[in-house]
Amino acid sequence: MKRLIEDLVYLDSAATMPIDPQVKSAMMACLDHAEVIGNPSSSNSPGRKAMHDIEVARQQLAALLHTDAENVIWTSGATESNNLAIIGAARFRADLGRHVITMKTEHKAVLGAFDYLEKNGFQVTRLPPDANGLLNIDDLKEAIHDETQLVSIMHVNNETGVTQDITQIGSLCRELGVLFHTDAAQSVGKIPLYLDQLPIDLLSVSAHKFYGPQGIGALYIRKAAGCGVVPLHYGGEQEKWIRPGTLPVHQIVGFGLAAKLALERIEHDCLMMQLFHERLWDGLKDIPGIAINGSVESKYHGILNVSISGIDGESLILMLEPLCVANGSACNSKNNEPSFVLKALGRTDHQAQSAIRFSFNRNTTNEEIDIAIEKYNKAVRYLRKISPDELI
Amino acid sequence: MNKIMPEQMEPYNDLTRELFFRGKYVDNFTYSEGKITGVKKGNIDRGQYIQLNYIEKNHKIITAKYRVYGCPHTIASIEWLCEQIEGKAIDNLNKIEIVKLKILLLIPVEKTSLILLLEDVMDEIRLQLGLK
Repeated sequence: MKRLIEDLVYLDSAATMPIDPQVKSAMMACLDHAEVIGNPSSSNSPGRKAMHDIEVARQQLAALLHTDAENVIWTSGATESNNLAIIGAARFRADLGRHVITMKTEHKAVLGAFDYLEKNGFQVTRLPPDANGLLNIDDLKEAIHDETQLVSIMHVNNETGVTQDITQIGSLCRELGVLFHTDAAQSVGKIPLYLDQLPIDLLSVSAHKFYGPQGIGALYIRKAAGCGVVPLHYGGEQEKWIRPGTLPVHQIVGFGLAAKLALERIEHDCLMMQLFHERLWDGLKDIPGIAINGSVESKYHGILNVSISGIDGESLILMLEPLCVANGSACNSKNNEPSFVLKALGRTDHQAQSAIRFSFNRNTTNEEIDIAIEKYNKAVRYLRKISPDELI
Repeated sequence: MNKIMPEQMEPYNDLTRELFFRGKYVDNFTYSEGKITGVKKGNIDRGQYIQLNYIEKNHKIITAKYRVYGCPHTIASIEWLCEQIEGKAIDNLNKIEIVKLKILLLIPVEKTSLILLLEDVMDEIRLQLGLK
């Protein structure tokens, strides 16, 4: 049995972006037109061609990050990059100390890696955010001690779009001799990043968060003394022995092109996100009881997360169909628990449960934003109409 | 833009959607003549709250209306319950099988508390009508 969803309006781009048509074409060409996709580790002609394509892609991603290609390691996505960075770096520096620091509002791929470290003898500090979702730098300064070897703070939060000051955080870490990792899955390709200037040691990237294919990611590892990771997997020399396994050529080609296109369009895309954000919030802000979750000053404008009093988030999502939005992060939305990110910001269960995340991409149109405004207003009116006296 | 989605991936079946959107028994606080009796059950902070008002006349429920806060299954369930109650002779209220909803609406196991909440509503109604 199939269900046909007509007129779907996709505003869930923080979960995954639609693949760019040029990226798709490049991947199809890679799959279709070669007699065989060589194994990049082979020295024969198809293998050398595959390795050439992979190195071109590495250059393209490095150009987007403003770093050298040799600092980029391919992975299967941001989850693997986060695990490799956090567990790998903690093990790399374990002889120097076994204390690591993160925030309560990190993605589960980061929190899970820290949980693993904790179960394996590391001391973990999970710092709370302020009510706007931002890290208090004094809290971090206070938490770092002689045993501290790694700090991992995400750049753009996947639920709220709140953007941490990674320059300030990284500078503090550099000053105190602590490695700094940032999960940049929601910022790479969307916000200009100059790794040749930023005090970042490790940075996680995901292709499908900026118009590339799913199932491919990267980890930036700064080339410096004391900065490194112990591999999570063994059995191959690929990626300098750090991440063994045959590389998926077509995915990497797509990733590289997505990076190249992002570099060309990033300023324009940023402006578009700001305009969509303004337009949507202008259309929602007068609804009684509505509030933005997270900082409005320090944020990526491709995400707007709002809570509303007296409304159930799951019912709201259904009322909004065929609008495709999220309540909670995509990775967290199958359970009915209120978002732990919003709870960490001090939101009540009720506020967190009513939260809706709108997220845009470069294919989003003003018409789609207007549909979202109309449907949200209409949904809230109806759900309040059927609400008990206590909520009216 | 058109997309195809397998039905088994849908969180709500067709009946749930129909009842959720129908809103036939939503309480607008305009009633026919008679004594209005009310039941309030659930907890807003726990995500489910039901307010059901009904009028009984000549041993029959002539009107059943609700206000509700909760997920689509909660809204669809109370719409279904009002449909079951309205027009029913009091003596027949015991025949309403709330547990059937679990299958009718494909209520997932993590929402089992909803069935208990509806049972509480029905128990209260029965009590008010002297059936227990």
